Amino acid sequence: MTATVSSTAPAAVATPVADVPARRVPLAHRVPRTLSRVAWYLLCGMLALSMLLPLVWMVSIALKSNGDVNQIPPEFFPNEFQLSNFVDGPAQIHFYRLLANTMIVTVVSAFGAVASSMIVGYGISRIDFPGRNLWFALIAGSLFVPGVVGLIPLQHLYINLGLIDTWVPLILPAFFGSPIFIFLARQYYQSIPRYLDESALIDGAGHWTIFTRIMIPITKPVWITVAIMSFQLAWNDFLNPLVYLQSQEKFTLPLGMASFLSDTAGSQYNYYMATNVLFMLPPLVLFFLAQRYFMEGIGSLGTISK
Amino acid sequence: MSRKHLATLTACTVVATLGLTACGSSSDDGSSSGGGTVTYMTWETNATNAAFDKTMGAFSDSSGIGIEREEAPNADYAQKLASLILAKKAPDFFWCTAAQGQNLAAEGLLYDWSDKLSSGDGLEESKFSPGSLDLWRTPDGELAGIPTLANTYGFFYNAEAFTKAGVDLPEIGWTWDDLFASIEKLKKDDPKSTPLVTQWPLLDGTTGVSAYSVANGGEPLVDSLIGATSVTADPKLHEGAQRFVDAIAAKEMTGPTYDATSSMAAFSNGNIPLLFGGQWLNQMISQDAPEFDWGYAPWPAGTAASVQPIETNGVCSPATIEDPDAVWDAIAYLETTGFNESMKTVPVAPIAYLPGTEGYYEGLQAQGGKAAESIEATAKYELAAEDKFITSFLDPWAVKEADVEKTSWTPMLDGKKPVDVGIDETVAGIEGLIGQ
Repeated sequence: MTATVSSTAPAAVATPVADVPARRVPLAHRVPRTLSRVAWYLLCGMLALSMLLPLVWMVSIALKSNGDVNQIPPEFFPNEFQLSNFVDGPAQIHFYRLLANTMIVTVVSAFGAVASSMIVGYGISRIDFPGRNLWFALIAGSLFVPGVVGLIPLQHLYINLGLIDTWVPLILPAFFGSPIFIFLARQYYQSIPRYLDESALIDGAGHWTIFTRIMIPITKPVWITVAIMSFQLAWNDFLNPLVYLQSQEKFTLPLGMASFLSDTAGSQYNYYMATNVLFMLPPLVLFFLAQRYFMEGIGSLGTISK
Repeated sequence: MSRKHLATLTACTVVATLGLTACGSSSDDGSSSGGGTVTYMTWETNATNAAFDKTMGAFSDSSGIGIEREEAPNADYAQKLASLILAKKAPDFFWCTAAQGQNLAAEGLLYDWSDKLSSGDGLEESKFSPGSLDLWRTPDGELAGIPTLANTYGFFYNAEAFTKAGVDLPEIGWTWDDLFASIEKLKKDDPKSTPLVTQWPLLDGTTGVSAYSVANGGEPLVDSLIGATSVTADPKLHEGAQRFVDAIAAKEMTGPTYDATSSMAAFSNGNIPLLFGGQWLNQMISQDAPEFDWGYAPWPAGTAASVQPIETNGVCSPATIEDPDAVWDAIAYLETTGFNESMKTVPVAPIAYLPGTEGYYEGLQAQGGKAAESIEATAKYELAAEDKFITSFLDPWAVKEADVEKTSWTPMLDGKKPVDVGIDETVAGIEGLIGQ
């Protein structure tokens, strides 16, 4: 017999207990708290290890003799600690002169990158002018053009300008803004309420005043982020110094570092690593000093509403 | 920050930038560095360069000619050189390969040293290792550069592994049959190993197998070192290629795609019985101080002849050098004295100009041991050989030949193409390049 159901009074159909979906118990309740914590710390430990191991291995090689470096299976602890690598390695490449060169090029480049990117980002974000969106699209689009594409035309330009074997080709481009930094700055500006500018405008402030008095202080995280990133880019730049510099007294550290490596007569890995420890210290120190702002700058991008 | 402070900071930065960047822009007249100082550039290591600095400094003191070495990282030397040539700021003489020399000479960018050499002023043609100058003669009869460091190619062997397997040690005069029989026995002795590791892509490459063909009575792959016009796939070339394909398939030797990055370390630690490579590997192996007897044997002989490799790097000069006489004096000093002094300290390679190679041998003797003795003997044997083959093609089309090898020759060695097909495609590819 088939059950009939009135259209006006729907019958309450009993659902079998087995068909009731179980209430979702949060993972935190299903896994014991201790186990969860242990797993979490284990994961963090493994990630930290994967980050630290190359650095520790670098220090290990820096302390070995070059013969020890090639042992198979490799040994973590040196047979004899060769601390002299930290003196002899840097001495081979005139480390401190190259360090000074690199510092000058990097600091000026970083300043140029910060200044130009923040100004251009401000213009695109806060000033209404015809074609603003087109400019932004062009800048954002140029993110996808590999930098090496411009190497040969730029080299011709610098040759014709007589700027080869100077630091100009290494520094000047930073003063014309970098697409990624402009994008970063523009996105940050977008998160700042418009009423700040409008209040300042009513009080008679111009764009330069708004930029210097209001925007620079409140965009500290983003320009520190740009500073760190541009510092690191300029610090590690190898190709441009290789192409543009000829005189040894103008060389930067990445060029000096490359002279430890040879594909024919044997690489001095111990000197290379010892010098590399010193080479990586300045950006590392800078990052640790400014990491709070760096995290804020990067993190803030996720909160942009438009 | 006040506007005033910001403006001051900006002004200071601009002034500092201009001041800093203005320094040192040297002459931009399109010529190489002149002004009474001869400049040169090498691809050597810091240690070798230090030895050059010392000896060239002595030349400067005695001759009154200023000499200055320009730095260039070894690993990116070609990039550095290209940018210097583009900027017309190449040093007065610089290290270059024979292929680079031929290419640059074809573009009219190099100074022709033929008159200077034939004048007998400082260097004598007859004292160069047989065939070494031929690599530097252009089809037009110019001399694109002066050969200097002459690489030899051979086999670093682990004497203990050979003895354990009951295989005779390779030595001068050993043959291709000896080579293939040795690796077969070594494989049988240790089936898990790959007895022969090729650190340098020459042994089973097109030029290497061409050498096999000639040594066994066949024809070379191309008809001329420079200005090749025809390509021949002799039956002996097929035979040689087949032997390599079989050895690779049997895992008696490594294939063309093997990553040899750590092969020197593996050899030094006793994990490789036979390592094919250039004599310069001695620099790495000897500093690892292997705890077994080892040595270096030359390229094998065939049934018809002993055809040995010739690969002379050299020094080239831009066509625009201002004082050819001073540059020539510096090059002549380098060949006759500079290499003797520097290679004594860091024995990297023998020298094509034979009076300049004694220092290399003295450096090896100072290293001591049977290994160094065998390297010296092999170097002398290969340099003195009358029958030679080029280790890479030198004509301008050679730049694209790597693509032909990659698409036709390499898959053949890996067993992905039949030998006949691989060779036919390679021949057709090279013929196409020559015809372009």
